Amino acid sequence: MDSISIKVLFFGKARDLVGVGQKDVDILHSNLKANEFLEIIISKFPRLEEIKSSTKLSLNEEYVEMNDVLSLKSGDEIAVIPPISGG
Amino acid sequence: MTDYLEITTRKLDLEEITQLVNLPECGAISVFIGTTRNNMNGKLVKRLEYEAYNNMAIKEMKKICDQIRLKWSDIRNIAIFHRIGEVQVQQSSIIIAISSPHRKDSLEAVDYCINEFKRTVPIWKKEWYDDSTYVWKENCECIHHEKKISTN
Repeated sequence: MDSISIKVLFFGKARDLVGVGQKDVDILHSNLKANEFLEIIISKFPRLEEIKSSTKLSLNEEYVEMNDVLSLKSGDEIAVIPPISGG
Repeated sequence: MTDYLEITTRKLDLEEITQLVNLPECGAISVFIGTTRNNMNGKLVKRLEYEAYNNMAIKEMKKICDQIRLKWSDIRNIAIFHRIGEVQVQQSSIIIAISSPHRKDSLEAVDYCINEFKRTVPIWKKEWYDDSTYVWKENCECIHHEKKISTN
């Protein structure tokens, strides 16, 4: 099976911890929970463990719940969204 | 009825933004201006930097506008401008201006708008202190802090 290439964006503290703002990540299965995807990201960027409990993810610019099963396809964009502080 | 939504590195211009919502049938323009404070828990703030997930931030701002128009039927124009990049102490980071024929609607809508904005719009503030340390701030009302009280 071909791997699926996901564009992953990092913002705020997540970008500080990872060191880059964007990274393409290949996954093998299209259906996985948001928290499983986060675990994959953390395995590649272990320093993200620090914000694991507080971060949220978005898929194609919409928030997802960490229990949601994501149906991913190549080119999808997932952002690691630590607690926000706009306003 | 128009929504003016913008994330910009430019200094925010109150007059320009309020003119966007000024309409002949409106007797009220309600405005909220968020400015940057010079101290946090006793530490002196030297400067602030904001960054945004631009496309998603605009989408979330649009959702807030849609909610406002559901809750208050008499709202006319809405303008939400947020500045990113470096913002000096005492400068504006956000300006919200909302117009309505009568003041009650726009006053209530502005309050709702800033509360929702701080809850959902993906923008981050980095606070630099005079001892050269920094902190990524977290809004106490942000959506991230809600999941801990929800049941799965």
